[in-house]
Amino acid sequence: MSDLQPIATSSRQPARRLVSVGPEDDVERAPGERMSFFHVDYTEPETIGDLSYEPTTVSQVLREIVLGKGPISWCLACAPFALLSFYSQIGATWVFWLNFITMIPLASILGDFTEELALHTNDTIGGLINASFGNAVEVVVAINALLAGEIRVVQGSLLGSIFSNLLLVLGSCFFFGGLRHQEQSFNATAASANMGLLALSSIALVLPTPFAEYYELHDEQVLMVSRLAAVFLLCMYAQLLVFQLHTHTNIFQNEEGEDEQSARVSMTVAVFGLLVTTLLVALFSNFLVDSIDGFTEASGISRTFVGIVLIPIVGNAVEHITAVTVAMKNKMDLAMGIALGSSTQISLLVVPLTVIVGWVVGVDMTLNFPHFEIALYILSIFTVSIVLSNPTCNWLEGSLLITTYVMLAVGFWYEKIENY
Amino acid sequence: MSSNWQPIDSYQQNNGTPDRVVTFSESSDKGDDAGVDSSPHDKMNFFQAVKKVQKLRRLERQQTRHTKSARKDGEHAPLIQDSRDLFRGTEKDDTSKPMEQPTVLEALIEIVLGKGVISWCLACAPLALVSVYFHWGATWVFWLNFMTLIPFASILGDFTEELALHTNETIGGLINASFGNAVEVVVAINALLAGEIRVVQGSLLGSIFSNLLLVLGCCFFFGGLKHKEQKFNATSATANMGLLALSSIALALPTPFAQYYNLHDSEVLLISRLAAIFLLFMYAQLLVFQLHTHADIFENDGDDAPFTRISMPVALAGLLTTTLLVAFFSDFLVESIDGFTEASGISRTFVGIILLPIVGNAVEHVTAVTVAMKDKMDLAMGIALGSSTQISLLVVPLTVLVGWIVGVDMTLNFPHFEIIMYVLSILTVSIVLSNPTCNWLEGSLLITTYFMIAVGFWFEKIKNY
Repeated sequence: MSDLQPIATSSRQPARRLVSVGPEDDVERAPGERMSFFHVDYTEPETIGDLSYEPTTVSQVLREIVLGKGPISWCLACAPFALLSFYSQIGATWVFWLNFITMIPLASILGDFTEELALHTNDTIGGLINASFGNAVEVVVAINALLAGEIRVVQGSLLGSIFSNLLLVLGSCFFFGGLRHQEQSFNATAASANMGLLALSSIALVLPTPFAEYYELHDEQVLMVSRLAAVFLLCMYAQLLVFQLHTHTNIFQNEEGEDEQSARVSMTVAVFGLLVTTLLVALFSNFLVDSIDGFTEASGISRTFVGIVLIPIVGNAVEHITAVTVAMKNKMDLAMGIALGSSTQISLLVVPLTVIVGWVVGVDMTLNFPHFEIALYILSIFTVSIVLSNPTCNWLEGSLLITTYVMLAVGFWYEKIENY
Repeated sequence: MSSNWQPIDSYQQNNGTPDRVVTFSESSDKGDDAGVDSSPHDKMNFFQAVKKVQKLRRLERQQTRHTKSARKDGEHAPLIQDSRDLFRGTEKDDTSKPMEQPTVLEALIEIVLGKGVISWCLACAPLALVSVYFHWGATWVFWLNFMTLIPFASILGDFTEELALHTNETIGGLINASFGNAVEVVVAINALLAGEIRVVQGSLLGSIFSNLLLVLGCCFFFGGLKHKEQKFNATSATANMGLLALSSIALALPTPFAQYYNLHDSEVLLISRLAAIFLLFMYAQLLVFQLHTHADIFENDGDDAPFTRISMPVALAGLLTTTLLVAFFSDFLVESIDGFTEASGISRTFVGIILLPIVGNAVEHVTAVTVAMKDKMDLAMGIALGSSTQISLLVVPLTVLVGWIVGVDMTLNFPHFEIIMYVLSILTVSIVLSNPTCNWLEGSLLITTYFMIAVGFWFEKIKNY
């Protein structure tokens, strides 16, 4: 479908400049589903008359998935150095940053393989796969940190991922989209459902609070309340999936009908690629987590800041670029689906999952976050819900959210949790 | 919009065919603007909502009575098929016999015993008395009196309605406004006089949580299972949420003056009493708004021929008797709380916040959910939200003032945890209500919030309480 004609779209796209051609230019997908936009963006022809390069053989496709992403793919060059640095004595700072940069393209590759796998199944299972693996990197990093006993880092990285998606990514979408289109509208039902669920998760975070004197991680009751709340949150997530994929699919479906994209690799190759990439992510994130100790000592950056601001970049950088690109193409529902859907997924699935995993392996992971962080979490949800209460958006609202994130980051830079 | 009773005529004209699509625009005769927003949904305030439910119930009873009397003649009148039947007013099919006016005795029996499962709970009444005087143990006393009070809430509601029918719209609305949560008031004042401040605070806060989260959530959930998406009027929802937010500020006011949770600080008391006066003043203004200055915005049941079953003195006597009985049994209930908490290990807070509100809310809950499944979401929300607003603006400050009068140190100083939960619940509900459509997921979300809060309160330990 490498059509050269402007495809008739909804009235939200009044003017189209035909600079990019490609099969999935006008396709909207369910939130959380990754779109391999790098097809379009990085194989852009120079002139309008060219057909885009269509990879066909498996090796070509694999090469494109792994290497076809421009600057992000260059980061893979850090991989051997990351390995070397871990086994050498070069210092924790190098280990941290090299592994950090190595993981960024891995997140994108993981997303591509997830999408390929999802394309081999129907809408529902595909949505389910995307919903589970959409934040695979965050899950892997969190579990690695959990097994290493770094509870602060786990909590920080999860909370930071939510902040990043909710404020930074969403804000950038509104901001850059708003620079290009004066006003963009989005679906209010999906937005309010997501915000309602985030508010529910904030209540879950507040629940263990009164049982902790200041910030007590090993109290019996704190653990019990956290685990019960985690079960509730997981039930809520299951219901969200039923809602999105079964009873109310019409809200989340693309209005333009057919989704012509077909999978480029076979299912076995996709599963294989998914597993290999996940293992690589696990390997490098292991090095990353190990180096945090030395990194915080050497650089003086607090563990909290590392967890909340730095580590989420790994899982979110690629998603961020995707969402902003999509927003600038005036598909705000899709962009918000990526940003909000990711936050909801982390708060309803990944956070309780780490609590349950901790329960299973015997690590005392609770939902007891420092009061300061909970207060900021609630205020962020409050701010975003105010912004989303009006189903149109503009660049100022985007800038507002970005500023909120930056202010939060400043707060976390100076936050000192005793003994953590 | 004059009324949504217009569809009745349309159905009648079409011989009740169900295929006619009702368009509310036909019936809006306010002409120009037909209300500020062109939503076809009534701005339902709490009093109108209660009246509407009572009207539905009356019509149900008329229908049943008609059905029974028709069957006596050997006819086979159809049972209530669907909600449309509930709307058939006195303009019934011409084959019906004229409605008989029930005797006083019939009416009373219907009020007290005609409620199915709920009326069976009255059988606990003598057992409750026996358990108290024969010392069966605090747990038995608690649960028996608990079960006894549940049908009383419904009976009280019926007598209130009968009394209100004997007066005009305004006084009727006032009566409903005052007695709408009579059971909560009686239980709270009983507990207050017994000095059980934690229970008072807990039961009031718990009533608000129950209405705001559990009842509203069940309405959205069960309504959403039946109808994919339901609309409601956002304006009245927002107004109610605004008033609840005001009440949450009142709860937060005394907090900085209490070290941990100090009930006897004189500054805390003073601030609480001042805030209580402001809240009551706000409630009075709400009444003036709904019943006087802006009554015409809300639905106008001008064509409703009052069909009262009992005379005013009887209604008054019934109301007073039932209130006395409620006071009597809730007295036993409150006194048994001490022994109950010791015997069962359940904390006082949990008893107050989760268990006691069931007494006043169970019946309202069932009504609201039934109405929501009949796709009258505005009505259901009027009941749920209106009840919360009433408790937070009327009953809570009332207990503070009653405490002032009788010398009990009742304050608005709630434990910080509970205030935070209150504020977060209001935030969650306002997020859910910001979009004027609802679905089952939002309902499930609210119900889950309630359960999580219940879990939190199960484990909450307030020192010395």
